[in-house]
Amino acid sequence: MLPELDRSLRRLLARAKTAAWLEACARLAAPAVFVLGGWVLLARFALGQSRTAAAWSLAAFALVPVAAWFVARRRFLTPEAAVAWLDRRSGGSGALLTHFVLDDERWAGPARDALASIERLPRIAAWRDFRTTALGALFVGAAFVLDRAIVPTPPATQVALNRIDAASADLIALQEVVELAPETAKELEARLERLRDEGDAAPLDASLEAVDRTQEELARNADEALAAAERARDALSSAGAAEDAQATVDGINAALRDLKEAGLAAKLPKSLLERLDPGSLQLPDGVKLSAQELAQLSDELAAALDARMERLAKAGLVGKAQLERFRELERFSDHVCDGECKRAGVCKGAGRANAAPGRGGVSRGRGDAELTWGDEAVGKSDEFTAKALDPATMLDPESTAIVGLAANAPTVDAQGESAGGANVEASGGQGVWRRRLAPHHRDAVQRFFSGPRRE
Amino acid sequence: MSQATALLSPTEVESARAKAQILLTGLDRTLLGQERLTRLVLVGCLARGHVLLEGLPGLGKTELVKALAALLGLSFKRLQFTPDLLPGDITGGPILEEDEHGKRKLVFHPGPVFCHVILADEINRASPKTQSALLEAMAERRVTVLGETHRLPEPFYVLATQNPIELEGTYPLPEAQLDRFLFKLEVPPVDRATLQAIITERRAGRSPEHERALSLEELRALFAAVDAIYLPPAVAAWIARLIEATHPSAATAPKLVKDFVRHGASPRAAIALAEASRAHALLAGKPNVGFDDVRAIAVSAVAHRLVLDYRARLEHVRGPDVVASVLAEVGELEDALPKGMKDAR
Repeated sequence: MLPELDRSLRRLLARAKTAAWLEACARLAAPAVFVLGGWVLLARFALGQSRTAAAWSLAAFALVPVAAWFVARRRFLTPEAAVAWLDRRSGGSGALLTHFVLDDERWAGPARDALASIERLPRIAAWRDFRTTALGALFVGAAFVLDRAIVPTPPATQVALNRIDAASADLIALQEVVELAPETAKELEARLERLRDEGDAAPLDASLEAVDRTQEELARNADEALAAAERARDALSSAGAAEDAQATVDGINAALRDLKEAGLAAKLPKSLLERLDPGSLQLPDGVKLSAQELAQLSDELAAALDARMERLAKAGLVGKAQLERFRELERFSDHVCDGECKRAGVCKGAGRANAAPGRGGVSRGRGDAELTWGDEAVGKSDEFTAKALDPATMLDPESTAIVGLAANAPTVDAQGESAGGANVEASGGQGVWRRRLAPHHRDAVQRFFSGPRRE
Repeated sequence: MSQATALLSPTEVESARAKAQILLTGLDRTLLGQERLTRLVLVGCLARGHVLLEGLPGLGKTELVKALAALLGLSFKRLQFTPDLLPGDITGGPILEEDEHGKRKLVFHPGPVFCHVILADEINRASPKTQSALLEAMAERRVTVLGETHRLPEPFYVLATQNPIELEGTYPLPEAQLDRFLFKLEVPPVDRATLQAIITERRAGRSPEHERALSLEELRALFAAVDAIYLPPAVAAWIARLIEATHPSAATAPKLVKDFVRHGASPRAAIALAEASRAHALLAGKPNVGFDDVRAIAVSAVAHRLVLDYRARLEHVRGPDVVASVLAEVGELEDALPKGMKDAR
């Protein structure tokens, strides 16, 4: 055989062999890297393996080139096919084919000419076959870089976490206003922290139930604070209506006592605390204050109570209706200004004597008010502000799927979705019958029927 | 005939090519401006195949055949096919004769088919029965009359012509007969320069006279040289794959074949392709067949053997179109290079 034909043939066969092997490598490597990436994710996040331990599984990739060699072997170019390729590439005269088979020196010239007409043998350009593999490699890299923190939280767990956050915010607001007993405050904080740590490890029903109980406890504390504030406000009103200074002092002291018992006295403004006895938080014995000073003290105390109740209302621990009722306490106090009020210059005329009697109904309003027979009472459903609640629980968390990630809790159509998180038909009674009410949904129903306490 | 295991020497090839070139030059002198046609006619002659020429009247088909017979120095007869032509008019038949003793006996009188070169002019004008009289002669080079078989002279060629436009009163050649023609060649119209040359050089349409260019022995040597042309296995494999791909049931069949071909080419087509490729290679001065030889003659050798369905006629798809698509889609190489190899031509 012509040496140059032999050389070209060897070179072409070697390149074809390498190209076939690379092609098989690319074909096998693409699914392999995706499988390995999936395995790394599984090992790290489901089996709890470390990055190093998961990295050992990448050693399996070494099988790919070996398997590719065995796959490619069946498709290696034969010398006959390679000569045919060279012959066709040179114009297809058959000179190279004939020389390869018969090796006739007399016809070496045309074979040499045919070979010379081939300027360049084909080059290996198999790298583009590895594009999918490169994508897979990125996936493997991402599987290692990915941290558990950015693994999306299941929706059900996110609901519980949102509720725990809300309860924590309520606790902070309550502590800004009310001085809770240290053990109570500590216990509430610890409970919320424990719920947060348990995350999705604890049953969702139990977590939500515990959060609901905590919020009920906070609401009860807020209610107690509000009741104490109302009593104090009432006492302050009585003090304002008193005709002698001692009665006024007694009234203020009674209000301060109520506040102290409810834990509201400790966080009064500094200007007020300076005028009180530090230990008992009462007006000091034998203090002589003018009627104007007493009235000013009473007003400051009332303003401080207003600010606290507003803070509780802002946190949602006190309802708007309750706040309004608290603010109107002064108007409906026992102070009756008859126009010859001995507290002239102090009384703001907010009492009944100076104010128009307004309008009243059979069940409310001043006795001298003109009775009105329409619109005298606001219906319960009007007072109740509807608030969409998130799904209280997932009946079957395993069958849920992540539909998206958001920083906030998902928007829920309270009418169209059942409490259990499952869609039910809006029409017909079956949907209502089958609806399961979770604790905080039950609480909403209770709030509706238990009067104007909270919306 | 088995495959040659030794190549012809360059001298042998050159000598054979020179003789063939003399014939080719003579044909080119007769038919001006039709070099491809004359070359293919000579290829058909060297491959000992029959040729069907199709073209409009006046293009020189008959003159070409007469020139070939003259150049080869072979006996030549012209048969004008007409609807009333009978098989016996071609093959000949027994005639009652009386010998010198007064005894009467049937004596076979050979018909015009008993010669080396037959010009079957307007072959499609004869009835199918008459056309079929040529079947045995063309395929087996013998004639059987009344159970008596008579061998035809060697070499034996049928060079037929037919007119593609006058279809009334004609009988299209049956597939069996078409398959016996090595080539079906279309005689194209000539260009303006050729026309000018014809009217200048051919006064009153007279063709140049030809003298015998080759003796019968030389012709036989030429045939032997064609037989000695080497057909590489890779080329033979390509021929086989080409013929296979003309069948609509084949996995490698192109879309045109699957859509329009009812029956593909026969094994006789593969043989014809191989033999004609050998002759083509010899004319090119090569001791072997190459892919280029097969490609050069594939349409002429295969297209007329395909049986197209009615949709092909509706869509104006012709046999040459189908063969061209087969050539385009069936690669010369059975094992392609890996995809990862970039052939920078």
